[in-house]
Amino acid sequence: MLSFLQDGVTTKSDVEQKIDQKPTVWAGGRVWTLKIGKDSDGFYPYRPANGWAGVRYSLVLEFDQQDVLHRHGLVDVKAGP
Amino acid sequence: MRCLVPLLLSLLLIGCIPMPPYHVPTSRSNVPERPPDWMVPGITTLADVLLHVGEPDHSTLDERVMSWVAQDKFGGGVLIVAVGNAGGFFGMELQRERRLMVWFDDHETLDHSDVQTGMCTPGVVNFGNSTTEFSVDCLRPMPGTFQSVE
Repeated sequence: MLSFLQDGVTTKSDVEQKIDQKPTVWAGGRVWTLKIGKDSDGFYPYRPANGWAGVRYSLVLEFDQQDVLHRHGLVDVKAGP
Repeated sequence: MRCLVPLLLSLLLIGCIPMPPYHVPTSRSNVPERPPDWMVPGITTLADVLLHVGEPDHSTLDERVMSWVAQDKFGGGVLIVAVGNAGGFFGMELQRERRLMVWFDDHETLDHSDVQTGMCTPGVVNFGNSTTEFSVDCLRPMPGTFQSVE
């Protein structure tokens, strides 16, 4: 599900088409965050009503001024500090 | 006193159930114990922070202050009691909250950060059809107007 993400290539529109979740938007739209679960079939978008139950990762996408992906990261929110 | 004695005699402790430690599943785990070295005031950007620790749990509307919170239970117990033909229980847990707070300047750059840790003992009392939950804040309330990020 996330293999399409390529810095310098992927656009906001690509993300909207391939990940069925409304992102949380930061920094005037330059940074998007999405909540991601994972099971034996791989990653899947999942934003629960309450916090991080059932969520394993926070996908963070930083776009440039042309709405092209500049940097991205998959943060394991259930990993220890 | 005449009433108290039979009441006490009828008070029967049915059981005590210990509760094991666990991480509160609705909370995250990746909250550092102290502000990490990669956070450099004047250098680290909002995007840098999010790329390291993910979506925050709370933010002010202007995104100047954000927080990330981990909640862990360190065990507790449930006492089950019976008085006459009525029953109830009392449960209490020891909870720890750790909160990373980050303040940004006008240019979405780190101003300063702090990690706060607090302990509290939320619990619940039930008797008959009445159940009351009680809790105290593990951490002092966050300054300013925060909203949960959902």
